[in-house]
Amino acid sequence: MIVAFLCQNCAQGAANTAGVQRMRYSDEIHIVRVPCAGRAGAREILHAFNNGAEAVAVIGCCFGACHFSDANLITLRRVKIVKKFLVEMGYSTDCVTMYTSRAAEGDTIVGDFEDILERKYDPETPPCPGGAK
Amino acid sequence: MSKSEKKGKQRKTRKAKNKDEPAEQERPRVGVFVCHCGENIAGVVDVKDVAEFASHLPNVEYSTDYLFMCSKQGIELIQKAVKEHGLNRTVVASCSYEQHWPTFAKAISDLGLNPHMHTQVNIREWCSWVTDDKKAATEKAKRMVAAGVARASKKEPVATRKIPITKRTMVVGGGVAGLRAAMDLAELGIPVVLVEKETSIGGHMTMLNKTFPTNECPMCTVSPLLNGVMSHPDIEVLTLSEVTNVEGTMGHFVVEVTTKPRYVHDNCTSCGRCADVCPVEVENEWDHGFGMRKAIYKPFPQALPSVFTLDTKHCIDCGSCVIVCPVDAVDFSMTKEERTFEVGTIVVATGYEEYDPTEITAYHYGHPDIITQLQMERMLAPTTLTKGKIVRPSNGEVPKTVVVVQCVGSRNDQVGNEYCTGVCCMFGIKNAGIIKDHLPDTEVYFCYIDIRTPGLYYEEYYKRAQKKGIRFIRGRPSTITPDPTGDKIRVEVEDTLTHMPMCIEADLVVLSAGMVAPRGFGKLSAKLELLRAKEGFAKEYHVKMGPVRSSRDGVYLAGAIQGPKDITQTVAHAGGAASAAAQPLVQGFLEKRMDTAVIDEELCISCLGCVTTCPVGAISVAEGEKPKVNDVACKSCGACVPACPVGAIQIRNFRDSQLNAEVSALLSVAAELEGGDE
Repeated sequence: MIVAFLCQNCAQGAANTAGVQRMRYSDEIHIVRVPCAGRAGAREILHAFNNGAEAVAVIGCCFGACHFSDANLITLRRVKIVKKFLVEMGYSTDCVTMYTSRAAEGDTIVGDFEDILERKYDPETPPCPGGAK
Repeated sequence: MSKSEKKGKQRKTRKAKNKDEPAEQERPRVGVFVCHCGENIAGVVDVKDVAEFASHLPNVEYSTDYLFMCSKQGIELIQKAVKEHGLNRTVVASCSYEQHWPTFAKAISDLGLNPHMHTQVNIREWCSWVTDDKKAATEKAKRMVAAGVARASKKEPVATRKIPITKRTMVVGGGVAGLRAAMDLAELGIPVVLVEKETSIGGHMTMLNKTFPTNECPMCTVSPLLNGVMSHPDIEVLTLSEVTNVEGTMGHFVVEVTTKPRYVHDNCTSCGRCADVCPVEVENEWDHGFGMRKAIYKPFPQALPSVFTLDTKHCIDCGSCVIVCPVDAVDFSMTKEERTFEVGTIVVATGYEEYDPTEITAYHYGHPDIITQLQMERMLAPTTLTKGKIVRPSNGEVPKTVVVVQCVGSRNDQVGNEYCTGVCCMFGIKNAGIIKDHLPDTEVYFCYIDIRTPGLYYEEYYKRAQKKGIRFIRGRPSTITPDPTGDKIRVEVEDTLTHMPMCIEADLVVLSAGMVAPRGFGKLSAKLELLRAKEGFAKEYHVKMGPVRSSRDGVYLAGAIQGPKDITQTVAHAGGAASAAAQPLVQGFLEKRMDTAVIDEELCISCLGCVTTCPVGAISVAEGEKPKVNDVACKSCGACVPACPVGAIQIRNFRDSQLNAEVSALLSVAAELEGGDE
């Protein structure tokens, strides 16, 4: 199960567009609404892993196009910090990633979803924290 | 502060003691309503199964499914269930939050519940429309509903506050869309600031020679509007001006406008003596290569405001204009001006730009006898060098063969414009017809892919053009090459109806270049924080139901900036934008949802992490006090929440506890459903 935190502007817009365009992506993706990608921080990501999420995606607007000035850049930094925690704990860093998408283009977010799925299934990488529940 | 604020505080102190306690004193009684959306959801998701599953979820008192929840009957069903079962929260599993959250929130607020007690679960766009497998889609919908119910159980009421609004609108762009919007707003008694980048208002429409389908003179049609806008007491027209900065939100935008110096004061009587004596003559941009102007000029005789402009780029500082000016209007000491305006709403009407065909190298645009339709319009206009005669720009002779080429830069994915401009067929036919009328002995070829003339009187217009003897050829020319041995232009095209390759020896080629988003709109849209479609135009809120609203509250779109449009559609669209922009201003206040950030002062350790994180600067701190949130400025993004090391700052209805409950419910249900299968 993959938890995707989607900002209410570009990311949810892109997910809606993807739906309207009848694109296809895995049913493992579960979208959680957040007002801005900046709302999803270390606490939210680690909470998802602790509850058995196999991967977490945080998706916001394109850099420079955040509807709240630069909150998506703050998120990027926070996700990097979470990756550092995961390395220290001996987990894969692939299972949490920050993505960006564009509301008018559904394929951007479907690409993000496919990417996180690929990362989840990669046997080469160390385990994800969610797997060892 | 307000009552709800106090309540929130009391509640949170309680929460600090016992974190698992639900946010409300009242026990949550959730109703789950699963929508079929016709076949959109029910065709993939087993809605009955989902509703049945939902009835066993914690806190759920009632669950059902219905064909169309958003219909009047569906809403009555929800209201009836709320009354009968004493529900205090509702979950509707249907479409997107943007589309129908307001519908259902209103339905329950009509019964006296707080609208924020409604939770929307999107099982259409995010589930049934993106999943093929029916079983997987049903499972996914169940998980989503479970997560939604968990979230609904934790939701808290949020107050709405009325905020007074600045009664003034800014219209950006002075083309026909901007003028129409400004006029409509001013007629409603709303003061308008009209910002135009160029030296005069009127935009592309004033460049045209004739308009379809009546072959009317566009200047005659638009001049009452131009004069009306210029003389209206409620409209302030700023030419040579650009928006340089936008701050604030709907109701209170603070817009910075920079006005370039005109070097001529408004007392100019437009007598034209300065232009007579000016020794510098350059190409007039407004005439697209078919006219000349002086360094001190008016782009066209009827230009408004009726004031000359000095072009310092070409001026040689001879001072002749200063000497001859009878009213001493010419002033070289003018400098650029920066002004700030407080406005409630903004209408963006920056229009379009003609596609530049140089990109298509096979068409050799740049040769004097290969011109665009806008250049053709200027050639046909009586005020230019050609005096309205149709000639070959290279040698001034009357053309014997003219080829009109359609779909240049539109319907062409090689240049990245897949869309059909939709207007070119009509103006192409119009100009081809005018050429045939002026020069009956000239052969006019019209190369098209499809003729698209939807609309009243448009098809008739096309039929009339056919009767004039224009040769319509279905095929897109592969190359348009100037003949190196003669002065002809070779147009190679296959007539796809007869499968005959042809080579037309033309004297004049007119390219129907498509409409593209104006250059420089990227900068403006970034300042206004607008979303743009991939084609570069501003993205509308909803393609059907919100074509005049932009992606940002308080910013409206008028005319071709939303997508290619002809004048009829532009004027209608601009009228719509004006009424949408006027609506909150006429009302006089704005309703702001107070789902903003709150700080629990007992938990706060004054690390000021939130103050430095807040992207809008809504959190401030006074000496020796705990940080404070400015409710009006807070945009509820929540970036401050993860910044807090102790969880003291929270967003109402996006609290840690609420978000975590949703994620926990989702993942535990996922594990359960998986376990059940095995």
